[in-house]
Amino acid sequence: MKRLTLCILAACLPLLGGCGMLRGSYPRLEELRVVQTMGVDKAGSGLRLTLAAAAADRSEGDAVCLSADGPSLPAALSRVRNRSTEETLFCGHVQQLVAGEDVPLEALLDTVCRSADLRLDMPLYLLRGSSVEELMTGAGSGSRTITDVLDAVRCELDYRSDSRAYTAGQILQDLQRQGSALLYVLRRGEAAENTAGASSAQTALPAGLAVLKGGEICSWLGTEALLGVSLLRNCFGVQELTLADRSGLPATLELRQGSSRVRPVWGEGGELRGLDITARFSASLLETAESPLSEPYFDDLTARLEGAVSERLRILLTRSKSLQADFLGLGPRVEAASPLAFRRLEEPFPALLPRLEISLTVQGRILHESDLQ
Amino acid sequence: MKRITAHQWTLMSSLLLLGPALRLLPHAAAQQAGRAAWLGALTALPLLLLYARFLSRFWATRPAGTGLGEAALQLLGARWGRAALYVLAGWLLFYGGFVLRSGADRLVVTVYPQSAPAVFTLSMGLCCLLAALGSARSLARTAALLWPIVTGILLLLLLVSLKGMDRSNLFPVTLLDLPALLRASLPVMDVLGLGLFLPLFFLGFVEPGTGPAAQRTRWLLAESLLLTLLMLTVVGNFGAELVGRLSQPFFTLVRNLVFFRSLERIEALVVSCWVFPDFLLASLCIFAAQYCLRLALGANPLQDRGNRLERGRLRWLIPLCAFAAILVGLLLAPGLFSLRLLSERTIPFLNLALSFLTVPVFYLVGKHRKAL
Repeated sequence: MKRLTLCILAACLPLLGGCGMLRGSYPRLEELRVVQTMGVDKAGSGLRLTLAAAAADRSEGDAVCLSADGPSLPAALSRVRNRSTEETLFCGHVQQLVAGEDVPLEALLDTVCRSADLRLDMPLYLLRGSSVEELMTGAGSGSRTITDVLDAVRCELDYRSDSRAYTAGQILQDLQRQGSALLYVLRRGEAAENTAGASSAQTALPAGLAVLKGGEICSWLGTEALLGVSLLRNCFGVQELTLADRSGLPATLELRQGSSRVRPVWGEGGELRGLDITARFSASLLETAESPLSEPYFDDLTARLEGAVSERLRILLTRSKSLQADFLGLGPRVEAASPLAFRRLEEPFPALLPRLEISLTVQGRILHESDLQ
Repeated sequence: MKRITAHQWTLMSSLLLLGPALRLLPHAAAQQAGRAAWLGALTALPLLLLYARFLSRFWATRPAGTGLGEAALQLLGARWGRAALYVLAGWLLFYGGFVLRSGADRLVVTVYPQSAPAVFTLSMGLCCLLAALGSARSLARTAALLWPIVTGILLLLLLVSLKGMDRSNLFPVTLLDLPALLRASLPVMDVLGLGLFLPLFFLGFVEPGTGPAAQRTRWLLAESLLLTLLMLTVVGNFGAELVGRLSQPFFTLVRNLVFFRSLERIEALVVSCWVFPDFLLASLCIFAAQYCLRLALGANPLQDRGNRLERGRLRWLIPLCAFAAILVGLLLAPGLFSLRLLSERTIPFLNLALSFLTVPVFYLVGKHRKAL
């Protein structure tokens, strides 16, 4: 018996002897070049992949950017790996993905979903106006890399939309459930930091949102849309808004604690006739030329603020109706309010959007917590 | 002969179903019931409780030391009893081979994408052979040692994942979801049915008088809650539509977890932990298969105290069964689509049929033959 047991153990040991027998075995940690940002551009009939990998030590200087073309993302990645003279690339720590505006997004999302390396909770950005490779190789300065730049962008967007970044997983969920999704759009711009006598560093700046429907971008929304989108999707963070007061002078307010409620209006035959949307928010006055402040001034300013927010919401709702794209997530909210009636709808909700009568009520409140005496 | 305690037997039942639960449940239940998938375990619970009650009352009529194999011979008679044992042994070897193959596939998909599954199938099969050469008590004690580790890791991951859940992925659930929910309860019944059925082969090794079959109600409630938490977390994080598309949604969820903003990408460790339930399940299948075959060929394996490979006691069937399971695992499902078909259709159908029909058939035939 002992002989047989020893024979079986001996047969097992080579198979269990570490990763040497398996293709794709992992090298040691210090031999890895950790990729933090991945960028994809359209290149002819294929894609151009750009990877930004961290320097092993900040004192080594800028991070490494590697690029390669390929018919698909996995093929391009394989070429980058084969051509790299650096250490082995490790793509398990990719924190953000930037795509050019011509990249087929549905195929890209599919690849992310299938990949054993990439995570679904990484933000996906769309770059407009330049190539992703130019952004990634030119952004940042000194030890500050594209990854740091995009981290700062994400922090800002999280701040404004209550930590709801549009990750690959979120986009996939929205596409499956609502038929359309939103992505943050970036553009190349100059950084705020300027070293005297040196050329300005390039950075990535938020440039609004893109509406993805049917695998393609069907509309672009400006940066002013973020306020309305956050309010209607109930992910409102902190937003600033500057408007003209009763004297025509600018007044800047900080909006927070925003939320919205959607109440469906059903007809007698069970058809969906319209939506009653109520949006509420609070605001603090940050800057005004008016002095002294008075109650009538605040009342007037509140009315103007509600009007400004209402206008932005109307523009978004009109765009959603015209595109027949439920990128504001109204369908799931109607379903939550009236689940049985929603299930009995004969058409999908996005198809009903153009015919819906939408009544919008905006209620704002200016808090006096930071008023000067 | 040193026997298995009731507690070890129960832990063995709990551990063996963790592999099939992760392979089958979130994906299959989400495809059937969509957002309501997380209620699948609770929907299946009443029927399972009834079946568990039937099993406990049935086993109360059997003499002490009767496992499923012995019950087949007692109730069906020598000829049909042996035929039933051959069928059960065949199913156990086929299922054991499938467990080896699906476990290997999980490692390839999640951690070693450039590798072939055959290496993992063979390695695991040889380890299971070593386990099957030992006693049933060793297997039960292994389960008792591994259960807190694997279940603890699972609970920790599920609790950490709760914060990423989105309420709109889980609600609303209405009465219109009921037909889909009943279909979604089938994968749950497959998993829990296996946990009820497979340990019956080992009842003969359990200490007499402890009545483990009568303690199944509490076990079923606990396992149903665990499976509900599993589906709640996975569907709550990804949404039913995305879960239905992912092949390993739980491990995709683990891939996205970050602990204390510094520890991440632990899915390789978690997948490695799931080697333990696969090892136990495959070992139990091989052990039970050789036990059935030895019973069918006239041996009395319950009383066996001899040399491990003594020919007269038919213990040479142990390595034969192990190699048969390994061969099945190597030849089964050469491609992804055939594995998916097996995993989602053939295996669940076979498991459901055997888990829920075998004992009732024994009961009815035994009643007819007045052997009860």
